[in-house]
Amino acid sequence: MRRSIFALGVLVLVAVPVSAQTAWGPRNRVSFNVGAQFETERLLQSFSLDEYLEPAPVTARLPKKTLASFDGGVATNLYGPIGAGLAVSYTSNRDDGAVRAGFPHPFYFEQLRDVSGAVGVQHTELVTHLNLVYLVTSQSLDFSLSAGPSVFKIDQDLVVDVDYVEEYPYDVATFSSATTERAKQTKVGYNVTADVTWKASRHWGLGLLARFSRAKVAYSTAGGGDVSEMEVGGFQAAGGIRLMY
Amino acid sequence: MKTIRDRGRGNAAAKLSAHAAAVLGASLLVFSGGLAGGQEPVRARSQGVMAWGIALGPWASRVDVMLGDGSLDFGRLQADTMIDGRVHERLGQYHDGLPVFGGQLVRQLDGRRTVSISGRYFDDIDIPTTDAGIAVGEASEVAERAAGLGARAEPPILGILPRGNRSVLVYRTTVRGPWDVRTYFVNASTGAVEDSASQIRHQETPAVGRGIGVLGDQKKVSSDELAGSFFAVDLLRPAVSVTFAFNGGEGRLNSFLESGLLFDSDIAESSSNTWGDSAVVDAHVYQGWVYDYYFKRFGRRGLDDANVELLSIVHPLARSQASLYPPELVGTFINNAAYLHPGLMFYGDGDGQAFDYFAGALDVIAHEMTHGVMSFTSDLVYRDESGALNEAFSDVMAVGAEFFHLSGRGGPQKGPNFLIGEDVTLVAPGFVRSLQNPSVVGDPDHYSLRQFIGTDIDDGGVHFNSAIVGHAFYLAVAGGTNRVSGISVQGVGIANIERMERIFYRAFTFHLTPLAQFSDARAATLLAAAELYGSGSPERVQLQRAWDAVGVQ
Repeated sequence: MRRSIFALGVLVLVAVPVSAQTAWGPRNRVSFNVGAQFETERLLQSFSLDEYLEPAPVTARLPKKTLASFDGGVATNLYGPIGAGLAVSYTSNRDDGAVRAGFPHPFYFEQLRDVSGAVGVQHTELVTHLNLVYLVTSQSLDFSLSAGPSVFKIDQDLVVDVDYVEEYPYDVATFSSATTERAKQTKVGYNVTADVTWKASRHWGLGLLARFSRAKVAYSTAGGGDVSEMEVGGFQAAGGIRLMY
Repeated sequence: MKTIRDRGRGNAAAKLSAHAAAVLGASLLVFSGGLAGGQEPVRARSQGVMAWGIALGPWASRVDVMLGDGSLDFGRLQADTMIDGRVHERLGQYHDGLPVFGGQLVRQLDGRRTVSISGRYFDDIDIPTTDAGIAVGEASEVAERAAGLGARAEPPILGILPRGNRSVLVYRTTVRGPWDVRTYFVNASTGAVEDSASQIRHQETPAVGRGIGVLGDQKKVSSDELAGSFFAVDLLRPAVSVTFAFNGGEGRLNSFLESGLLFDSDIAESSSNTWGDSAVVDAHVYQGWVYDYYFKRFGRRGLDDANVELLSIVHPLARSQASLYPPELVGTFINNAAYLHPGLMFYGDGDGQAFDYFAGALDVIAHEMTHGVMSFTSDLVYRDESGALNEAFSDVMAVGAEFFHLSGRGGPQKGPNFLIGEDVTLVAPGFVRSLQNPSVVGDPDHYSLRQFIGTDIDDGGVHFNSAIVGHAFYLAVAGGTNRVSGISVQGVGIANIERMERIFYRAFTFHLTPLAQFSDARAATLLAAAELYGSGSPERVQLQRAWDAVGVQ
């Protein structure tokens, strides 16, 4: 986490609205935002383990969460109100996921014993947005709309095993712990971004950003036989400073 | 996945030790300790005791006096697994320092308070002398001669055998012969054999027919892996359970019966843990299921409630050789199943005509294992009415195990039902006994129809007459009208069969003693019903009516 934040500082921050080339307006803009990302779903895993000659179904679900996000970007005017932007957003957190499993009975077929518990799972998104920008500007406000592809770099802890405790007569099993492995994937998705900037002076201002980004990531777990799908991105709202030059 | 169990699984060396322990246990157990407390085929007038409540007072003080003067002595102490705080003391009867074979009282205690006293006590012991006229060695020789060539007797014990209106000073010894293990009572004055009883509890020899193979359903086999092979050793349950396969060799069976030795090489084995021998599978799996039944239903930990090893032998003689053996051997080791105290079960191959592999029937295995439970508790003498009770309670628990395991499970089994052996009987009527309608196979369904008491036929009608008690159980559960008495019983309902199982279990494990009669069983079960569910409970009311219906008072 600390390393990621440091990297973020180095990365610098990316553009959002790009103004059209005007007589009074600067050509380039840099923004830095802090906000939150509202996710619809983080992760739903579903796979099977083998136990006592039968499959043991396992599901792992991360709850819907609001994550802190950091966002920066640069943008430049290309032609009239049209420009290009590059933005990077970062979210990361560690939280408990819910794990449920049904473990077969050692003595009888088709007699699953339910176990459930929590497991700490790390989730990190580093997303690069490449946008085409349309800018509307006035004396004190800039408003921009942008959209384009997003490259999601996802680090996700996945549940790969579940440990449990059982004792004779084995009719009940108790969750002990779950084992996770970090999966890394890069996936291309999309984003749509709106930005409003209040210009305090010619070279800086304050802005608000709203963005929706989305990509779907699929993971193979438990020997590759089962696929766990995860929707990444989501709705992001943030605010910060704008530098214009 | 890492599973933590209460039974640790060691490395290969540890598993080898487990095997060795199981086998050693077998060789020691089969023919030693358990037989010392074996059956006494006593026919005598005894005083039946079933005292609780108001009637308890005189007996409570009398037992204290008898413990003081040596007429009674403490035997086994059983913790009550059904009512917290209760214990049951088995008090053996003594006369001039000698054990009175079959005389035993059970005192139920709640803390220091006596709750009930039950059992059989002989008031009229009268022997001229307690000095034996023949030596111990002579008694052994007499018993060995009676058992046949190659028989060997255990050290005899001097004691008193009640016989009718008289008492006889006898030596009791258990003898291993080529095809039987039998307890003999040798007159200590004359050297005559007063009585004997087999230690092998077996089911009825059947009629003849034609059949098919074992049921073919898939089961999980709890095995033990060792050096790349898998052995039929169940290490998942608290009691080690081992299944041996003799593969039908006459020589192996004979040498085992003579020596009592079991070897690693006898343990059923699979190279892949996929078991193709269906008799091994069912014997091993059902043995575990019956252990589970006793544990979950009654809180009992195996046959002795202390997790004695469970040992099964399949293929004692080969089905294909059935035509080569005399009928008595076929009836004992092919078309039969048997229990040998303590903790060894045989399951015959069946001849394929009258019977299929006996291990293929859950109720057969529950029946045999219940003989074991009985040997560690009431030790009902395997003759006449007490023997019929032994058989009857084994049938009741067999039915209970079926309802426990097969209800709603699906599969090729015909149960759960109130029939015995229906999954391995290949000839009409398709079962060995019926608790629902005993007369279908010619068994009595009323006390007035009992037969063979005091004869050597069926050890005094132990299988035949057991149906009377089994039918009482059926009526108390499912209800119905007795064919002979015409008395109708509503029953507690099959959905409540567990309650009646608990009543019968409590009766034979805690209240009955070796020489119990049918009337004692009635009293013991009614006491158990009152203890578990109340004096005016439907369970007790229905059970009382069921006993009335079958004519047992």
